[in-house]
Amino acid sequence: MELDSPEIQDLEERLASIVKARPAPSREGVVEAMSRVVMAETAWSEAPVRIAVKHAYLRKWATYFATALVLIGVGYPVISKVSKTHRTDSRTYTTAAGQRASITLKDGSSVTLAPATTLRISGRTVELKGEAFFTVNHATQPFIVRTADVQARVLGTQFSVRRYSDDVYASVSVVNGKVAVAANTANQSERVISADQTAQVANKSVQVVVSNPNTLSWLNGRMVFDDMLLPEVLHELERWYNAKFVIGDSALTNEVVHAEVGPESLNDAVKILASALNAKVVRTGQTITFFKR
Amino acid sequence: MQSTQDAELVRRISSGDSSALDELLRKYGAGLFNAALRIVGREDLAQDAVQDTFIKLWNARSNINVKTSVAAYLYRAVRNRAINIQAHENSQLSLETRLAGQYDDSDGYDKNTELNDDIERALAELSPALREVFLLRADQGLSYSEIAESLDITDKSVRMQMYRATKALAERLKHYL
Repeated sequence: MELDSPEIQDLEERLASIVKARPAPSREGVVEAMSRVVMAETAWSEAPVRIAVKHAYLRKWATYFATALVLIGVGYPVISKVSKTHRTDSRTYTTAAGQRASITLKDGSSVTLAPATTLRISGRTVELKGEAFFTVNHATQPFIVRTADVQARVLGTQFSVRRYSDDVYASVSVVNGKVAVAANTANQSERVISADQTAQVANKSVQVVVSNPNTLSWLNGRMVFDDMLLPEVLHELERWYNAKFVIGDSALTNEVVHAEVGPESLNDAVKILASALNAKVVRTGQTITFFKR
Repeated sequence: MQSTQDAELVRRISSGDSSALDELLRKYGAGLFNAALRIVGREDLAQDAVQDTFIKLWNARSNINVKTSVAAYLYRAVRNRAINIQAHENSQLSLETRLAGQYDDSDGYDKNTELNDDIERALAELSPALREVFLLRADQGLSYSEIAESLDITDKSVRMQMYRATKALAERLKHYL
């Protein structure tokens, strides 16, 4: 057979298809991990406005870039992902489970995103899925936060809004200033709430209660569970640590948990919980199963 | 051979759109990782080689100048990075010995069937240079000129190496042809 002859070309093609068809290991996880790292790097140099650097372990060079994103480690994992997409005049920021991020808006207002949260910003209107804490600068223009079923209108204040897709109600908690809260339907009147008040919105009705002092503990990397059922606690922790929790013993589903975790590693958090429950823990990769001891 | 889709991604990257960088990474990441893994032999290092390449591409986005194939550009950049990383890894083994050894046990290919066994063995018996050329063609579907660009060799030597690899593999896999 000669170089470039039809026979050798045909042979090459057949061999290539045999070789290509051999089962290769899936690289999905690796590609995902590489994407996280690369996207976290690009976030530094792409963001619209400048911010103060809040965390000591930030790369020094990051401070030289016009940067609007500070990634705050949750103690786990080291790599943070903040994915963003662009439309003409809006920007979307997303945190994965196990990650938080802070964003400074053009007007100097800032937002801290809890894990597994998506925030779409267009001007002074933001749409939220998940949980975020806002510090809004005084301005004549109102700042509006919308979730699936609630909207909060603000003039210079600090407050948090939470509405994960599986939450029973949406909640708005005010730290400073005043926020007008209304269900997202036509003709709903606003309820104005102030410091230490939380508006809970479900089925288009707004209920105002005194804020739970632990509502904002996540901002400091802590999760406080004040007499919550174990399944709810584990659901929160899944977002926090990007792990999967399984209750291996139905007797545990009615356990009431009173615990405080974070900013420990996943392992430490699991240990705290296991000892509070007197449970046994089996860990397989990112899946953690609790059994009754 | 410049794919217009890739060219568009590069154009978006140079205008500062990081989602285009992510798309490019998702499109070529697995193949680039495999190529880097064949050089460095360790998954974490292979991952570094690919990440470094994309981060470098991003940081240089304002003066990206990919005139030919984006795929070839990426393979070449990742390969160079992987070789540099490998050079930093202290090892008393020669590159060749290490490659031959690692290709067999750390690439993670499923070796359940006899055919797979035979394919893996046949590939492992090729010289590293021939194997690299052949796999860029078979696994990544690069053209001769893209391979030439990736490996910084001439089209003519790609043709020659493909010819030799094809003959060697055909001899070893003749039962399946």
